[in-house]
Amino acid sequence: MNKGKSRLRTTRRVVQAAFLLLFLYLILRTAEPLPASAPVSIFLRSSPLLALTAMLSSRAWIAAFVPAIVVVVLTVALARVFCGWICPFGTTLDITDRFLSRFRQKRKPDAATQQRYHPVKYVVLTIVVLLAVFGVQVAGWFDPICIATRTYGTVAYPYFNFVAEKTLQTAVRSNFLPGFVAWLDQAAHQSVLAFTQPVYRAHLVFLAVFVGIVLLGLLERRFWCRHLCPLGAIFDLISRVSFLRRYVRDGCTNCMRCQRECKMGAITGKGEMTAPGECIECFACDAVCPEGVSTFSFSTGKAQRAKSVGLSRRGFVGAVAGGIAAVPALRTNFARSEGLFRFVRPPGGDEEEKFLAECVRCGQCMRVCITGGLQPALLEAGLEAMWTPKLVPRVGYCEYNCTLCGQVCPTGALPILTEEEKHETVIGTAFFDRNRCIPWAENRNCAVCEECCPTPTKSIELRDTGLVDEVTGEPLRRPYILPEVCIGCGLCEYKCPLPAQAGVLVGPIRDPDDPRLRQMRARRRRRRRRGRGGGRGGDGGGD
Amino acid sequence: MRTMTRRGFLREGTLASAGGAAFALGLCSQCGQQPELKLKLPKENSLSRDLAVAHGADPAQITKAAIDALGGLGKLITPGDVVMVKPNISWDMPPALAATTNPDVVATVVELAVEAGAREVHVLDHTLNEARLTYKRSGIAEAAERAGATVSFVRGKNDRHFKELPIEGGVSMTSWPLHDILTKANVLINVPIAKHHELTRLTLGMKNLMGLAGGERGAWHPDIAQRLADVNSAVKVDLTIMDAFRILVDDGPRGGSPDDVKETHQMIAGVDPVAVDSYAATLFGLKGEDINYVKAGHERNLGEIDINKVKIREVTA
Repeated sequence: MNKGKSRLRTTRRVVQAAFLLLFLYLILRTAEPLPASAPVSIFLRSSPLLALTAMLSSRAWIAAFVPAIVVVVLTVALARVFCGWICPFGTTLDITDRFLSRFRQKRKPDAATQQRYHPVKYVVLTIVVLLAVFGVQVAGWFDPICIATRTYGTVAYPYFNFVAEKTLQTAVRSNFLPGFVAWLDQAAHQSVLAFTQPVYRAHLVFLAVFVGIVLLGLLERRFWCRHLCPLGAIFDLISRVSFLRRYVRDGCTNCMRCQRECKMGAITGKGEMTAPGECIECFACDAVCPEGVSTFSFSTGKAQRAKSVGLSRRGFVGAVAGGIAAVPALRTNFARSEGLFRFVRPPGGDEEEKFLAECVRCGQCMRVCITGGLQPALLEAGLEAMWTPKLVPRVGYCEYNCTLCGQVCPTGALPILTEEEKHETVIGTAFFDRNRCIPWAENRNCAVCEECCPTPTKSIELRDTGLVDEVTGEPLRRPYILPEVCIGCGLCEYKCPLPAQAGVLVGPIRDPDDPRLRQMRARRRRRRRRGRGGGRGGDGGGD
Repeated sequence: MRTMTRRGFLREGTLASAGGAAFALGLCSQCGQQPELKLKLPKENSLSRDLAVAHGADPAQITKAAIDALGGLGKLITPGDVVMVKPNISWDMPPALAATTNPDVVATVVELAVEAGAREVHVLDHTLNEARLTYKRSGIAEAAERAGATVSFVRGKNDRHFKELPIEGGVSMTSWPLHDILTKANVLINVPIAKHHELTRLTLGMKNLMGLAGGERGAWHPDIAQRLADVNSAVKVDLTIMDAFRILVDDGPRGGSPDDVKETHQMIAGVDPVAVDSYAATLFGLKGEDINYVKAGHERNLGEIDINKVKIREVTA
């Protein structure tokens, strides 16, 4: 074992831990109050895959993705160091792989077998990019940063919060060391616990995706990164011209320890060959090299490069054909083409086609939503819309003064709004279900929706009926919506005292020619032309 | 030293967790035996039974003047008391739009309570808009904390502090989840703001107690008068200080437009919640009789609805 060099591996592990902790911290802080300067979506904005596909599918330059360009430059210099040192999902897999190691098959296949499926990631990449060219955004389903954001933000954190909160409540009830428990309760709520328990629809789906990828680690370490990750495929392509490379100096005894240790299957030949695109610069090989001849450097001399396993011509043609076939498969959408389904989108996401093209389904808006009303769509509006955010007012409404979702959106699919702009932002229209609404169905007075309505001129009006309340005998008044004032925030539906389904519901924007909509859209276009692609100050694209 | 094997670790770990679980269960079984929660009783006091109305251009000064006109908080609070001050923090609105109690008024009440020797002063409200936003924008959290209060959030209608408590003598309901601060505090000072309200015409002091109720409060509305009379019979308010520095005359209870705000520059204080509300109604050109829940409160002997029968001490500050 080479003591001096194993320090590099230790350094890498410390850096990995630091980036994972930073990632988790930013997930934690993606909540009210949003830190003024912390760029909570910086990891997402560092993904060249998201940058490329979001810009392709929305056909616009998105300034918020400057960090991704930095990562590309980093990759040119240091190869796939992002995968080995920075990627929070890669680090997560390193951890889970370690736990799975005792169940993994011991017999290690030879290098050729190991690398047989490496090209799959190029197929994924080709299809994802091709779909983006046709304006279909599916990169978020496969981007590892997106997967990590969804898993930690909408699965791991809510689970953690649930367990911690229940434990604390039991401690509070037990009256055991009450002073200490009260202090702990307060400290926990001020630091790591959520204001109220976050609950995400279909979190089990996200959990299943995550667990599935983790379990692939039973076959090989970093199975996802080797064979499937489209972001890794991008880095792989760039790495072929990178400066940092592995060299094996004279003195190699061909003991093949490095080959056995390599978690990416990048080392071939007699231990001296390295596939530059596969190596993630984890420095495990030089840590285990008994002769100390495995080394990394920037020198341009004789590198023993193994041929990188690329996509064969046949494979590429197949991937392109698959990608093109996927376009109609995803876009020929019964639910949407027939107008059967339309969501109440978060503020500023009112142009559905544009929104679908720009949203990368990362879940940040759902994570930050102050009322918890933003929830992932499943298949109700077709596969294309899967995991995009929609407002479920019965769970949480759109808070009048809140502009958090636009501030965290990594792509600008949700624009940054000032408070004044937000007040004028129409996201839907409310309507009454007269078969349920209490004054309509039961002839009893009720005005919860009217009293809550946040527009300065109320969007709900109580009108005299000439009837009386059947119990109190007071004059009965019934509520009416004023659609030209209503912004569709859903507070009425949220607060309606009826159990389960409310008597007032928020549906999509009623009037497609609403002058307020035209104003909003014109303002967005003006801003976009001025080069504000969305994003928070300090994150690259802020205003 | 014995080495810890994995098997040994698992065995001992299992034993230890079983022990821990048994201990935790033991603790839990204790919780069931906790003393039954009881709502606070009225606090005996020697405050004047009159109604104090203070006029002036500074909200803090007229608050103090109104309280002093009744004899000062020293006549209500004895050293060591736990005081609950209940402002209206319901809406994410700045003080100037008169949707929430004026922060200077809340701060003054807290200061005077601390001066009178209160051991703890609590400020909280079950808000309609998101609590973190309303506590901040209303200016109340900061002002109350600076004045020495413990300000805590109510985390939605299922907050664990809401406990099903009996509504003694309730006509429309016999129990409801109420904030457990009402079982810990022995003095309750209600600090509402006078506002327009479409359903009941006005939202006043008696209605402000809705902020101490959890659960589906909206379901009270068809029977709002009796429900509010119920909750006001069960929850004993010791002193009401009605913020009428600015009142909201239309589009209430949330407002949102400066056109709906009227500067009335008054503070009304009294131990009789019905009388305070009746007087406040006159600022809107109405009488207590016009407000269904005030009328119901009077019929339940919660106070005097005819302000001509109440002695009013007018002061200027």
